[in-house]
Amino acid sequence: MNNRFSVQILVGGPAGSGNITSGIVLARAFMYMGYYAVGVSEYPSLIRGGHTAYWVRAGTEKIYELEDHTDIVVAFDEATFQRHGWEIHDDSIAVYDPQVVKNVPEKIKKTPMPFRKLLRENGLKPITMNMMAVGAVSALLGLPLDIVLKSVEYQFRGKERVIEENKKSCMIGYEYISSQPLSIEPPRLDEPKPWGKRIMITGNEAIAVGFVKGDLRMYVAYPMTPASPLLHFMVRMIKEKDIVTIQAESEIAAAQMALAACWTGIRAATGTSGGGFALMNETLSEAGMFEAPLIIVVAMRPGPSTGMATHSAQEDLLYSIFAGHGEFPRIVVAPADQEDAYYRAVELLNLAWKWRVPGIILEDKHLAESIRTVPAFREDLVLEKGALLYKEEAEEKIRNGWKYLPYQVTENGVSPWVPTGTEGALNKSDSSEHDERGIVSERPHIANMMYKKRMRKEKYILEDLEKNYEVIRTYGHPLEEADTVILTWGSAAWASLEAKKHLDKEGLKLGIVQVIYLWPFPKNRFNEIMGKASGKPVFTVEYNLRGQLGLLAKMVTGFTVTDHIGKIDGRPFRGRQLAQEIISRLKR
Amino acid sequence: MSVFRQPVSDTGAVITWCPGCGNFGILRAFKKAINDLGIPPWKVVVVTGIGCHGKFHNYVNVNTIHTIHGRVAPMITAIKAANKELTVIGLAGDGDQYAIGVGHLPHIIRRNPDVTLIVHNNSVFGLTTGQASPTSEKGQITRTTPWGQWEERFNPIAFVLSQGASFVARGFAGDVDHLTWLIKEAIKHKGFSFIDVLQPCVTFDRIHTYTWYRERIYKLEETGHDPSDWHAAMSKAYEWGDKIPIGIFYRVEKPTMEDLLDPIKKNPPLAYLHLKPKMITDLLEKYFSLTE
Repeated sequence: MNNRFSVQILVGGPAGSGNITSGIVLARAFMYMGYYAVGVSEYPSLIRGGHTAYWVRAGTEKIYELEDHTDIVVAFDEATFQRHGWEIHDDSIAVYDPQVVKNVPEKIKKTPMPFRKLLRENGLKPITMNMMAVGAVSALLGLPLDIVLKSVEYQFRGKERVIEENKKSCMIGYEYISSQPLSIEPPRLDEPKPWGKRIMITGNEAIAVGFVKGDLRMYVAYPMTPASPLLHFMVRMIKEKDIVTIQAESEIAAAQMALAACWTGIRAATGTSGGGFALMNETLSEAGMFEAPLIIVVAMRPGPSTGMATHSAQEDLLYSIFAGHGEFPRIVVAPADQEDAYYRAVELLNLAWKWRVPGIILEDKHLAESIRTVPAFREDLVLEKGALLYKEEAEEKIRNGWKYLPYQVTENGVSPWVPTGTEGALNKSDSSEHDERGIVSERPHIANMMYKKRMRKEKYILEDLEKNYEVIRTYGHPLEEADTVILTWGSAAWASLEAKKHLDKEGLKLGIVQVIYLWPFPKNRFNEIMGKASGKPVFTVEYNLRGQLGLLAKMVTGFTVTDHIGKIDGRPFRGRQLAQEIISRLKR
Repeated sequence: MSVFRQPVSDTGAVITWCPGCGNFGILRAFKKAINDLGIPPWKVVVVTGIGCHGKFHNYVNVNTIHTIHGRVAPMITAIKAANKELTVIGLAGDGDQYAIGVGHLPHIIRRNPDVTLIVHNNSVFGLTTGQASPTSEKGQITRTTPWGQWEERFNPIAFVLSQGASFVARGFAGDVDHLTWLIKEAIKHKGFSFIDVLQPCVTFDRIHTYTWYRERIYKLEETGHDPSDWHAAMSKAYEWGDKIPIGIFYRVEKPTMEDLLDPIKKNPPLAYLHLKPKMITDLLEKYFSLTE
């Protein structure tokens, strides 16, 4: 038997062929069986035609990233082989319709399958071809058909006729492969070890669920890839979870609306990508001046400018930290993965409200749109209202003589505040410099007092973060024992974790440091952790060319990395690819 | 020795508008309207933009935001959504609303929140020292049009009417009683109310003086104009020159944003609800293939 701890499947085809759905249905079937899975898409910025690809990798242990070795390739077009030939090996298996796909690489094991003929003979709509492919792949891998069909049912839930037709197509694909004498021995996954209550989710969706948990009451956004799926999900929450979701006329309007909602006293957020975030910068600065807990999700794609709209990058780390004119504190968090995205979204809402500062969730397209099987999110999270008093509380205090000042100067810089509409209290916020009442003032002693009140929060936020939150995560070999250290953030950590598996085989011990809270930069924790790596080669791994995390660390702590391993073509590293890159850098 | 003693506002802030500025009339009309309607100050929100009008928030004892240039409309929409109990009034300038912020105007009309937008239309950029604005006259000499404005004048009333605004009016800063009445009608109107206020800039505009306006202005309500007649309103909107109509051009009842968005309609003001984590396991089942 050809046993593996993981298998990787690629379904490629023209946009509109349904290949992404094939991948998702397969990933879900793997999860039902008790495997770990990830699903990653690559698609151009168009609606029909072009070439799209979807990979699923599943295994008996936690899967972090795709590999450079695809076991089964389903090709709905010839471009699948042309574009992804580099990940096809001698033992890869190709499933394709020989009537449509004529040029198949020599080395690949061929399993031609008459998709069109089978569809015709069975009176099935061409759109169900993708489920026939799911059936074929499942048969090759020996997956139990009933579980695969359950996944098909979930995919088309609520649409009975569609379910029946797609299940039929899936079964026909399964039976066709099962009835063919195969000249090859397809891979077999090791027995799964079911791992408890689990779900399959993207980063965008995990943030959205975090917003629901965190009692977000308004989400306003303008469509922009790859943040749009977050808007799509939040729109559903209008009816399901009582959240006001509005598609604004621009990113400027979206940010202004979310800011005004925060000011009124409700948790509100917006989401966008680089270009839209640029339009929001003036509002971000205003949120700094208002000391308003505006949350912005920045889903990164390659730039500059329109860049590659549907691909992935990490080019806006420094931009997120320094965007907006003037100086003001903010919190920037980059979730570690899809599971982390849920918890960090709730946490950032709490932190922003506690400190009355804007917060940014920084994700890239790879995290935003890739699916991952993760433990089901916990319900038992605590929400902190921070410096905001409830209306009744505030009115009681006011009746007892409290003189409300929305920008009262305090020790840690945080002024208690009240929902707008509280009897006897006026919320006055000015984008101009103002006094404690919120009334404009350009007098030097007032400017000094208010500017410093805002800025000193940064020190206290850093203390709070370093003391009470997981600001930096470490994986792999303990840094004291490691030969080489990777300094990374966001989704670039995933390939690093896969690279570690490869380097272990080479006898090279890799330690991985993933910074979660990027601003205020956790300099004390960073120094403490990196102190253990003293004298060892440290590489930043990020999807940018400058090595922005390295620059940030150097700016704040003086720490200098050995070298930067970047990738800016919109496609994330595969595990082995990165491992080889690390080895070649060490040889330099 | 000071020739002109700068007045002090209700908040204690010194009023820094030029003597004779049209903003004084708008301030008086605003305060009188709120007093007449008997709305407590903590239930009133004023959002101002950038410009001479954008000092207003410092002079009134109500909740206020002084936002960035041109963004009054999205702000007042969201404040109403977050707390439907509030009387929300946006004050913008002609540069603010008709130049940099004009893109928001159709959308607040489409959403129809129950808020009021008052545009202090003085036909110039005042605070930046007298550049041309979208409502400068063709041929008007300003700092940026030394040989006369060559661009056509923007027609605010026709613009908002064309997009179906549910309350469209024009006032004059030199007629405080009439403007007070208009502001009260606008606040009472259920839905988005728009008032363009003709406001002389005594420092930078030599054309639109109080006298110039007084010689031309007449009141629509004295002519038997029917504010439910959209076509009549539209034809009045194009009257500009020797005769300038003020008053209510158009008024119609339409569903508001608060009627149309369930979370606002079904709940008490969202800003008064206590923070409560929402259950998410149902979402995990419905959307994310929750597996035991």
